[in-house]
Amino acid sequence: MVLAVHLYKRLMRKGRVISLLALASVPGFVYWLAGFDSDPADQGALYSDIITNVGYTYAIAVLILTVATLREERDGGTLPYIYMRPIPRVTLAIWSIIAGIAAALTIAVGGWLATVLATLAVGADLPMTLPGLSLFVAAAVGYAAIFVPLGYLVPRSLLVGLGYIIVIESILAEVVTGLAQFSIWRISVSIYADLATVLGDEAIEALGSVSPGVGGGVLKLTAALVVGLITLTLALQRRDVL
Amino acid sequence: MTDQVIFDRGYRTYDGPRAGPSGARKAVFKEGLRRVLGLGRKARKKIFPWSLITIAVIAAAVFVGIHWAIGDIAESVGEGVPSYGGLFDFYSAISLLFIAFAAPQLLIPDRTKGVLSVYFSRPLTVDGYLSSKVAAFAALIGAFYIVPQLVLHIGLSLISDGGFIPYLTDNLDILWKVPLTTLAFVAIHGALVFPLSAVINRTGIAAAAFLGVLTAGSGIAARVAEASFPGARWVSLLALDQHPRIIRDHFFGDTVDYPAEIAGFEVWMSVVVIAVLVLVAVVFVRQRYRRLA
Amino acid sequence: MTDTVTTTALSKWFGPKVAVSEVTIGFGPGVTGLLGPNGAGKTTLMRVVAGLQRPSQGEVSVLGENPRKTPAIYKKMALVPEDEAIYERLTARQFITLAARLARVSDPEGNTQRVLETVDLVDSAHRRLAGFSKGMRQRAKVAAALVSDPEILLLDEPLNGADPVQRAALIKLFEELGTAGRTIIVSSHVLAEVERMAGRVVAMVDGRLAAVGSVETIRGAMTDRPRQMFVECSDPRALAGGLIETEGVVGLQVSEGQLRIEASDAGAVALAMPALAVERGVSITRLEPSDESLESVFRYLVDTR
Repeated sequence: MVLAVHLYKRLMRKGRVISLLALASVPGFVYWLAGFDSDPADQGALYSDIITNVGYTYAIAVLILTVATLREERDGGTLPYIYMRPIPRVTLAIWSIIAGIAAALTIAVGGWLATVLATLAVGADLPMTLPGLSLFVAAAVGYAAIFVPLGYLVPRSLLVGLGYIIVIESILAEVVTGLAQFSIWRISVSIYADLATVLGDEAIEALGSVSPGVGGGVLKLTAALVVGLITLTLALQRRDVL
Repeated sequence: MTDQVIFDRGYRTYDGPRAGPSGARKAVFKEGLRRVLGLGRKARKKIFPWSLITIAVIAAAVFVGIHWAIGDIAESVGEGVPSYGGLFDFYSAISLLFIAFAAPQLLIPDRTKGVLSVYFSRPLTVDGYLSSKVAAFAALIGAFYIVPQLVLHIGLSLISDGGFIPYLTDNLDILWKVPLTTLAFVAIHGALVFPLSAVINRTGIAAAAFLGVLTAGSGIAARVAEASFPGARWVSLLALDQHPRIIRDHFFGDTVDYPAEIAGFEVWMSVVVIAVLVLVAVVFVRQRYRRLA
Repeated sequence: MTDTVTTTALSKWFGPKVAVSEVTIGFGPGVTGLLGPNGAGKTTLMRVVAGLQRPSQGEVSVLGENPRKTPAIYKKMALVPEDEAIYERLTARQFITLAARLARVSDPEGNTQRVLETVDLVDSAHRRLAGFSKGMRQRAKVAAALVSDPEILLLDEPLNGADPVQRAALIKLFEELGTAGRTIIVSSHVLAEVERMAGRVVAMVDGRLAAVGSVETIRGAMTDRPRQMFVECSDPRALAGGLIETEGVVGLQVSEGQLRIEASDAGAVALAMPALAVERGVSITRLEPSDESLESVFRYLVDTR
């Protein structure tokens, strides 16, 4: 727990949090701008279209944050202070991923609250924003599960992560239907889609070939967490720290 | 009283030719190319840039193959197989990744490793240093865009029913349209990524910030272009990535309607936006490096 | 005494570069100095012993365990790394308390105060590490290592950046810890200080062990090199005249009031000296070996590789 708190505090530096919250709030900002002119009957669909498509800015914010969880310790040369502790490697891995998830969830809540404020500002129904939280939370958990280990393992982890989001999730997953099942964003959208009362056309498109479903989405995210945990544990056990 | 003796330990001054400021600029330019492409460095430093370059070139070759398979170039273009204009769109995501990788590599390591003072102790001014970095960026990104286009052009010339030379002479306009479109892409992306790389000290964060700003701008502009609040149409200009595409469409024919076009702006507005952004970027980066030097 | 840290045929390479080559060594209670020129492999050896890097070949054992497989061993082992990496945003107290908590020390705050007093950082404990000088950061790192009261302490260039007063205090601390039965392995380039605090020296050159033992025993083992002796006397020429015929004398250098002797058998020369001095009417005011310093031993070890 001490480790998770330490890593979380290190991630939540003021300047970083402000800029990442700004990035995560772009969907809310866009909804605020677009929502003024929208028909009240279309607000729900518009909200869903925006958070599922413009929400990639939030994905980038979560990437930047979670990849830094152990990467900064490694690059900064402070990893020995964490590694040389009487803590089993699997425990080290668990707390590191928890710290990444906690940091990502902080941004998730911020991004979601931006959409809530925007909804209030345009005078739309607040309840439609509640399922939106599931999208932000699911993405936070899913991206942390893969990007915390990625940050530890790979020197250019941010670029690789951007490649995953932009090339694999945005482009290849549309073309290669099998890949869509491995897209954290689409999995998160599938959870949201199951809970939302209204879905716009663009939100349905964002799903791709993934079917809406909370159960399936949670299962896939759990699998991602398990794979991430195993990968990070093995890396901590086998790779040189310095 | 002992005599003073200076022992010759073999130190020799340099008597060879001195390249001067232009030599220093050339050296910075060459070092920039080598650093981004991983030349003279370990194999793993080459993986990322060269895999992106390979994908872009292979894509062009694949399209030549598809054009050839269909048989008639005009017909295949009609069926949606990308030609010159469409090729810019096809590998846009890869090119954005390449740009996001290249520009921070050009600027950031010199600052973070503390070698900026070494550069400026040479006959190199801030302007000389920055112009060399910009030249390296332009050469890299320009080549990234142009080489696949060249592969496509030569490929289509080879498979053209009319013959190689007739196809080339009939399509001479490609020789200025593609470079001008490339210039638009290089300029807008450079104008965004260079200022970010000038202030952010981690290459990955600068790359993510570049992509984040592009994504955010596009997202905002796409939704707001047709809104009716005052100034809404000007918000449509925020989708920075659309401007070189609008210029591309002006040369190669319309594809989709971009937010600025939906908002009623003409192509010259895109040129103005690019020019203004480039100017602002130049001033900003110059100021920043003058403070650092 | 049983060795607490042992390496067996330990090698570590990074691609084509062999940093440590077939090192078999044991470290026991007390202070052991780890010496070597830049690139000798000292830091790599420490990192492998600390479990931060895997051996490419061979084994490491710390209190009978492999540190990479048994993280529990870190309750008894700590490292003060050479590089300056530290949590700059934390205060010294926060940094040391964090180290204590991560090491699962009971009463982290109390132990933090204890080690802050030990390294004399109490007055600066509330300040952020970013504002610390190099020497103060070193002391903070030492404190963070000591807070868990480790049985084994690895110190990689711990005196870097410390001023003379701080150096003396740290050396005294390491000596006390060694005397108390802890295993202290300290690497340093400051040979005079290693000579002061380390009863045993391990010299490495080019990744290999060059010598192990006390300074005197290492010097004694260098039988292929004549010993150097320094004599201050009333008539060096007269003494030299007698010594030149003495067996075991290889070379003589006479200057005003001083005589430098190179001897293949220093013992025999030392035995013969008094009789010669009496015979020639020479009074000797000083006689001592001039190449038994760690510096000259070290230089010899490096030069002969």
